[in-house]
Amino acid sequence: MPPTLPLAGLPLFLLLVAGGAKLRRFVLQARSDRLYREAGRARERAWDGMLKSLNVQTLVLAHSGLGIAHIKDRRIQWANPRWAEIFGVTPEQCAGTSTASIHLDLAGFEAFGRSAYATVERDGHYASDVRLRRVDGSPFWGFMVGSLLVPGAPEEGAIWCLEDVSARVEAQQELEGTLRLNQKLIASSPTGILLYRASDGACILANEAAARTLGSGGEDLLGQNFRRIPAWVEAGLLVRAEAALGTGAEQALETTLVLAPGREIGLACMFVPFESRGEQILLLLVTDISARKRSEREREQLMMELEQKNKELETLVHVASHDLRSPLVNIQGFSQRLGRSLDELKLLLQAGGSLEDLNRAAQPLLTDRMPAALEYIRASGVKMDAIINGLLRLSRAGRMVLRSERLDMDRLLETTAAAMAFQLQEAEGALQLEPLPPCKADPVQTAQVFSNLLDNAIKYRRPGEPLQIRVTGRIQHGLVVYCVEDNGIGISLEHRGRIFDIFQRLTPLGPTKGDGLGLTLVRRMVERNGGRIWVESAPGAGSRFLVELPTV
Amino acid sequence: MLATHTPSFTILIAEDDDGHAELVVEQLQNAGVSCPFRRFRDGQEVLDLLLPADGEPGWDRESPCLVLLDINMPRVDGLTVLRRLKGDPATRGIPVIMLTTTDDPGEVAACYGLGCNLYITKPVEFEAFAETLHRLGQLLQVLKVVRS
Repeated sequence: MPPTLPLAGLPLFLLLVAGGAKLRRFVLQARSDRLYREAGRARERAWDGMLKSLNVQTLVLAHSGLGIAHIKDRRIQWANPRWAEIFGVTPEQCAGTSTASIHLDLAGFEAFGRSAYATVERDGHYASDVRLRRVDGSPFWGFMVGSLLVPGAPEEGAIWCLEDVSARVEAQQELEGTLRLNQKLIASSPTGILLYRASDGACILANEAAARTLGSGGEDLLGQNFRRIPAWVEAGLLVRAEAALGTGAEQALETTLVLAPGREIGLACMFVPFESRGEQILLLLVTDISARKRSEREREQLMMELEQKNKELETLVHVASHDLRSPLVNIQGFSQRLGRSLDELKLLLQAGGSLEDLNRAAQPLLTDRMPAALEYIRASGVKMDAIINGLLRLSRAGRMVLRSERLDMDRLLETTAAAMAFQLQEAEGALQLEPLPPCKADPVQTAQVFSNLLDNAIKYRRPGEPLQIRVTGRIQHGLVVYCVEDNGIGISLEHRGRIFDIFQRLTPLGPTKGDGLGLTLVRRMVERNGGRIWVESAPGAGSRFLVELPTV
Repeated sequence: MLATHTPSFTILIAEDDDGHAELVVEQLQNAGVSCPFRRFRDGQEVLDLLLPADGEPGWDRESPCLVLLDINMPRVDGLTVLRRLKGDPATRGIPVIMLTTTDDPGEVAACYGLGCNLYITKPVEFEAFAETLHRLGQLLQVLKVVRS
């Protein structure tokens, strides 16, 4: 729009226009020059910058640890040295090659290529670990990142960066393998494995074996605070756990853990403290050794029994030889006497003289000394026979094949008592049979045991006092304990330990009828039936023979 | 045969076997021992005489005696008698000779440990037995001489 000027100003305006045109030309010229200069400088700066930038890019491309390539239409437009190096070729070999050829027809790469290129074309970006192969065929792991060269223009291709990450991937894979192995080992280990956090005592891992050993499913174990398990205190586990944490050293122990009232297990435990991610962890390894403990106990028991049997056998040989020697002394001694008497008779006969004198001299020999010697010899023979018979009986009791069956002890005792009714009556004794629980043993030997005990009660009764025998029975600790109690002479402490030994005899009333074997046999039979026998007594206070046998 | 002296010495024999007791006496007599003998059937009888649980002993402690002890006897055995006699000041001085068929070294040691004066094993060989008793008879004679 032309400026609206007042007329008065027109001459000035014209002057100004005339003079101004020149001025304007000058001004425009100056400005143009300046602009030109400025443009030149800018161009120089831009050029300079571009050169610098290009330089940087070239240097980066040349020295980068990353392989970088421009791939367009599945063809490598250019690639930096590192790219070529990663694949084992020269950069010149790279240029213009198809991705297929550079990756040496690697089927996997083709598949990767398609999906990777498709991803880049669609999303403009791609990044992933890829299994690749060098030209020599060796495989490696590459981390590939691709971006479109020109955003939104897939036809311009993409810039791809490649990093050889074989070491990382392999380490990772190895780690994953190790982890999987660890998991498998923990899961399938026959040893119970538990992990506890030291800070709050919580169980953070328990494998199946741990759940099996410590019972009641793994769920109960997880989260459980080991410092709050009362059974751990009793079993001495807590002390060891804290010791392991306190010293940092492994702690091992074998103990018995009460899982529930009446349910105990033998445990072999190992506490191993270690640190993981800055936290103190307590590893507990547990093995159920109940079976081993049991067999150890059984072996100990067996050893003890063997030792006892051995001692018994030694005693038996010792006592038997001693007891056999005693009548032998008599046999030999009195045989000598007989010999001497015969010599004397011979001398008398040779001396001749009247029949009366001879009679008088021979009389004491014939009516006293010689018959007495003969009687001693005969009695000694009987005694030796009794001892040998006793030994045979003892041996038979040990060898006899046993039946183990449920015994109605009320009936057994009644039968036994009936067989001894006469002896009892003779001794004016009273037998009281309480109801008896059944047991499991050999019927013949059990009857012999009680017959022997009743017989002893009668034999060792107190003179002048009515004999009273009482038989009772009760179940105790899963075994039946029978008691044969009398009010007889009792047994002093020093004899109590010996009454079950072979050929040991107290002096009963009247002539000694026993062979000193009764209680030895009784003990042998009770023990063979899996039981034991002992006595409680004091002199004058009667005796209580206790027989323990297995329950039905 | 050794000379016989006044019967101031009594031999107390504790022996449960009648035959043994008779043979011992016979052989001691054959060996020239003329002392009186007293026979006891078990250890309790000896203790009842020398160390009765109550009352005065049935034996004048001033009159010399010697005890021949068998070990295996009913009621109270020889070892117990030995222990009691040697453990009591009143009877400690009485010579005790163990005469037994047991030759168990442990038992022999136990007897000497308890203070027995002599331990003789009854041999089965009668000649040896007689010889042992003969020597015992001689020993008793010597003891008698020492005492008197």
